[in-house]
Formats: sequence, structure tokens, C-alpha cells
Amino acid sequence: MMQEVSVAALRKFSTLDDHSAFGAWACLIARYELLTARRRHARDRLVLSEDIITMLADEGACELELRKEQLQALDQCIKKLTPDRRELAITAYSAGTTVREMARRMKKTEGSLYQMLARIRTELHRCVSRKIPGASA
Amino acid sequence: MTSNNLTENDEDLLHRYLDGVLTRSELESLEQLLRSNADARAQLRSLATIDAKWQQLAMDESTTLISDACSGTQDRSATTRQRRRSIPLWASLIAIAASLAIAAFGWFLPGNDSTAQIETGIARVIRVEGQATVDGGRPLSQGADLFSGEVLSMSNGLIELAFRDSGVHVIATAPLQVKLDSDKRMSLANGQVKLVVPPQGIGFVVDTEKRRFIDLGTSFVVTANSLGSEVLVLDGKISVESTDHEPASLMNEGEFAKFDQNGRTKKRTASRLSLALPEVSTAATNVNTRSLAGFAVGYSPSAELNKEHIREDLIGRQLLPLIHSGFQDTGCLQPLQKSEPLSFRGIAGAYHDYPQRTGLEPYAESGGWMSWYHGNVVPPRSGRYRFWGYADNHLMVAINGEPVFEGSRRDSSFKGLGISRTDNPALPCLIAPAGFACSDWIEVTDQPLQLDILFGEVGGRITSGLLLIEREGENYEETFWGQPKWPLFLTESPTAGETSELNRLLVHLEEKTMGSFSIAEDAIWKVQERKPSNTSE
Repeated sequence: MMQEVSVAALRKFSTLDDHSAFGAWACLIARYELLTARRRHARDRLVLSEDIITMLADEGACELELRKEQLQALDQCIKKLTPDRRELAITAYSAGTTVREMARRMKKTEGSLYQMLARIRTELHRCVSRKIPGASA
Repeated sequence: MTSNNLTENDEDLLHRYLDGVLTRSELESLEQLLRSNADARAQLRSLATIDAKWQQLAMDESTTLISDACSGTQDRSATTRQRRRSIPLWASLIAIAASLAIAAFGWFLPGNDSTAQIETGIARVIRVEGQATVDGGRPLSQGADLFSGEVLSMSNGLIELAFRDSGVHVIATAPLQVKLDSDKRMSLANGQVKLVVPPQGIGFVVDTEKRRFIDLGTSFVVTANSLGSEVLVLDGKISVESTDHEPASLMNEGEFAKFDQNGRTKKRTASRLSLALPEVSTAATNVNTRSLAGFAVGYSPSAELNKEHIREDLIGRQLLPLIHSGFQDTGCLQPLQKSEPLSFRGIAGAYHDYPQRTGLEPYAESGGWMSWYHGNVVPPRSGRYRFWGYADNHLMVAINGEPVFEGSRRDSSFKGLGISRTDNPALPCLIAPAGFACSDWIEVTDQPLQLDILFGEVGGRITSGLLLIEREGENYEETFWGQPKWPLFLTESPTAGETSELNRLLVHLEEKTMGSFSIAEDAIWKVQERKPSNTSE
């Protein structure tokens, strides 16, 4: 579902001749694509209710500058990760990869892999928060 | 407690949601938390941005590997260098949008039972005109899913699709029979498909019986029937392979190739589409009392400009004071040299020889040129109108001194003026990535109003443009690709010679899939030398 929404985002973004119009466009994505996707897939999996998605989207649309800074800071924070952890995350987030398959290959449980990914996420979040006060607020 | 007044349990819920492993009762707890705690919502977006970044990095590596594979790159050092390149701005912006999506839905790393049970299509129907069915039975409508292995058929009309994972955008026209093999491949037995492939869709394959077309980041049109296949590359490049394992060949923007039923190449032409665009040759210098009068300006050859100046858009910036003054202050034109007096003949097609045809030459080519048409016109009828079009490079329309339409290329200084505009890539116009640009609706009466049109070139000799007008509520004939043929924006009737040339142009545009137009006498905004009246937008 995330893929679908981000693909829709990318498809629409590539249509923007003026990329500075991103802010307005992102609001639209947030509003319509997310809610449409939610309605379509609510039967299939556990997703947050519409009112929460609306809150996340509306507040998120106001944080575009913060997100841009956060993405830049992440470049530096990711460099600080050990190569093993970096490789693990990239593999996990690659299209077509399943955690189950990774776990089998690495001879670990799925639960332990999710924990490792959560720890990496937390570490990066702390690193970014140190660089950009307010990124986590 | 952790940061932001969140407990460890709260944070665990956020992580588990992003991983897609929450139970229903945990989801209820999370919803309660997010409804009541803005910090929790902010943290979820922040964590989701991290996931989006990883996804971006993973996609970047995957794209690099595909690109290497397609180009046959074996040099690991080259690959490493490519991987180290910084992620472009657009990618970061997409990551932000993706982070909103992740915050809303979670990343859902595959590998748990809940995701394994999901059955979603590989593509979705965006628009369908006519009767479309899959596997000879199930009718398709807007929003319907298409699944791997399904065969899509249409006897008439057209259908617009988007592939979910690859983001590939397809417009297909009947008679059509195409099998959606996977999210990266389709087999076209009969019909015509036009594809626009975004970066993550690179490598998308269109198979025909004897030829295989592999996208390398582009837009292209494939036609297939029992007699063979054809391909026209609109933008970027593709790889063409034979199913008999003959060596692959590359085709670039503007190239067209035709293959017979045995896969043999029957015809191959190479041209830059933008250069192949016809140029109306009739004179634009016959100004009379019915003309919307204007002139072109450029820098004198003595300005000693070079190619570096093209990037600076000197001419566009030079004219900004004129625009800011509501087209009253012409002081900024003083340093420039002028063409002969011009009469507005519409904006359509190529303008490569325009400086020569208008008497602006000799001028400093690297400084660009701009034509400015100015006068009072009367709309054919009161109502709401909007402008459509695009120009390489500058295009702007102002009514009563206020810019209302900007259809310029991204390197135009006019982009900085913040004129409201929407882009419509599904309606191709002059092969611009933006497709047709469109203004907001503009309400006018049948009283005269001041009209100003700017159209120009940042530098060099490859110029094209199209400016059309739509009246709300009117029905227009549509092109092959479903684009309404809005009338060319004119301020007086074209001569017989012009009509003939414009007809040739519109046939060319339609056949080359770059969008088309109509010539309508009742859509002409005729010049009337009276004082302008109020116009509200």
C-alpha cells in the first residue's frame, strides 16, 4: 500500500513542471491518495482510521521543510551506521524482499529481525533529533 | 518514559505499526494514543520519514543495478561511484510524500500472515472510454484492479492504466488485446499503447510477437497487429530486442521503427521530434486595424553574449518589470532591439526561424528573444474560459494587466511569478513532461479587455509553442488519446494560406501523439480599439 501511494506520488510529481509547487501537491496527495487508499484496503489489513490519517496528513503537510532537513540529516546519520546494519536495512526495504525470507537466510527469527530494524530506526531517530531539534517533536 | 512524553510501550506500538505487525487490539491502543497525543503523531511521521529514506536508498541501488545491467556496465568502480551520487531533489521530495504514506499505513515489510493474504491487482484503471473486458468476460470500469496474467480486450475506445509498483502509466487504444504479464511486463498482441515510465519503472518490457521493447527511462508508443509492430520513442531511450535473440539495439527520442510479421526491420527513421515540428511560414508582419499588434525584442549582436548566458534567461528577466507594471512601463525594452511590427497569428508549432521571419535578425542569439502582443480584444461570448498550452520556453497571457496563464518551460523566469497553473501529462503537448499546462477559469464579459501575450525563447534556435482556449460547457472533439481539441487562441481569422498550414500542423501533432487543436471561427477574440473593462477571475 505504501508502494502504491508513493508510486502515485512519484507519478504525479513527475508531472509537475514546476517542482516548487510540491507543497500544494503534497497536501493533495496527503488528503486524497491516502484516504482513497485507506478506503480501498481497509478490508485487507489493519490500518488507522480516517480521522487519524487526516490528522497525520494535515499536520505533515505543514512540516515539509522539517522533513527536507530531516532527510538531509539522515544522510549523515546513516553514514554513521556500521556497514552490516546499513546493508541489513537496505535489503529489508528493497522491493520484493520479505522479512520471512531474510530471517530464513540469516537463520534468525522474524521477530528478532523486526527488533533489529526497530533499533536501527530508533538510533537514526535519535541522531536526527540531535541534529535538528524539533524533528521528533 | 522516553522523549516527547511517550512511554516505551507507546514507541513500541509506533514501530510495530510501521512494521505492519500490530494486532487489532494494539491498533486500537495506538489509535487512542495518536488521537490524544500530537507528539505521538509527530514521532510517527518522523519515524516514517526514516523508513521512506531507506526505501529511497534501496530503490536508488536497485535502479543503479538495472541501469548497469542494461548498459552492460561491468566496472565495479563505476558502479560504486554511481551509488555514491547524492539523491536528487525530486527523490527527497518523493520521500517526504512517501513518509506521509508510511505514517498513514506503515511500511508493512512483507513476511507476515496479514500481508500474505492480501490480493491486490498489479495495475489500476484510471479511465476507460468504450467497453473493456478482461479474459473475455469481466467488464472493467474506472478504479478496477487488473491482475497478473489477465488479458485486457477492447473493440473500441481507450483505456488509461497505472501499474502499482512500477508507476508505469499506460494509455491503450482499441482494437486492443494485451496481456498484463506482471508489474514489469505486458504482451501486446493487437492495438496501440503509449507508456510513460518513471524512474522506478525502468526496465519495463512491452513484448510483441517478434520484438521486445525495453524501457530505459522514457515515454514511447508501441503498435502491434498481425502484420508486425511499430515503435515511436517520444522521450528518453529504449532497447529493442528480437525474440530470436538477435543483438539488441538502442532507440532514442524521435526515432521510429517498423517491423514486419517476421520481426525484420522494415523502416527506421531518426529525428528530433522538436525539430521535426512544422513551422508556419506565412508572414506575421502584415499589421492592420484588426490585428493584435506586437513586436519581438532581443539583444543587439554587440552585446557579446555567449552560450553561458542562455542559462540565465536574460530576456525573460529583462521583461519582468514590464509584467510587474501591468504592461505599462516599457522602460525595460529600451536597451533591446525590435523586430518589424507584428500581427498575432496564434501560437502553434515551431518557431525556429521566427527571428529571421520577423526581421529581428541579426540579434544576439544567446540572449534569447521575446514577442509581446498587446491590445484590446472582445471575447466571442461572455462566460468562463481557460487557456491551455505550453511553450519552449516562454508563454504568458495577461488580461487587464494581470497574468492569468503561464505555460512556460521550467527554465523560464516566468515560473517565478507564481501564476496558478496545473499540468496535465496525460494530455501530451509538444512532448513536454508537463503535458498541457492549464490556467484557472477566467470569467469575462462581452466587453473589451486588455490582452497581453508574451512568447519567447531563452536562447538558441529551437522554439515551439501552442496556445489554446477552452470555454466552459463547450463540447470539443477529442484526439486519439482523449485530449479535447480546444480551439487555437486567435484574435483574427487566419488567411487561407495560414489555415492550410495550420491544418498540416494539427495533423502532424495528432499523428505524432503530441496533442492537437482545432481552428474555430466562433472562438476568436476579436480586436476592438476601445477602453478595457473589468474582468474578474
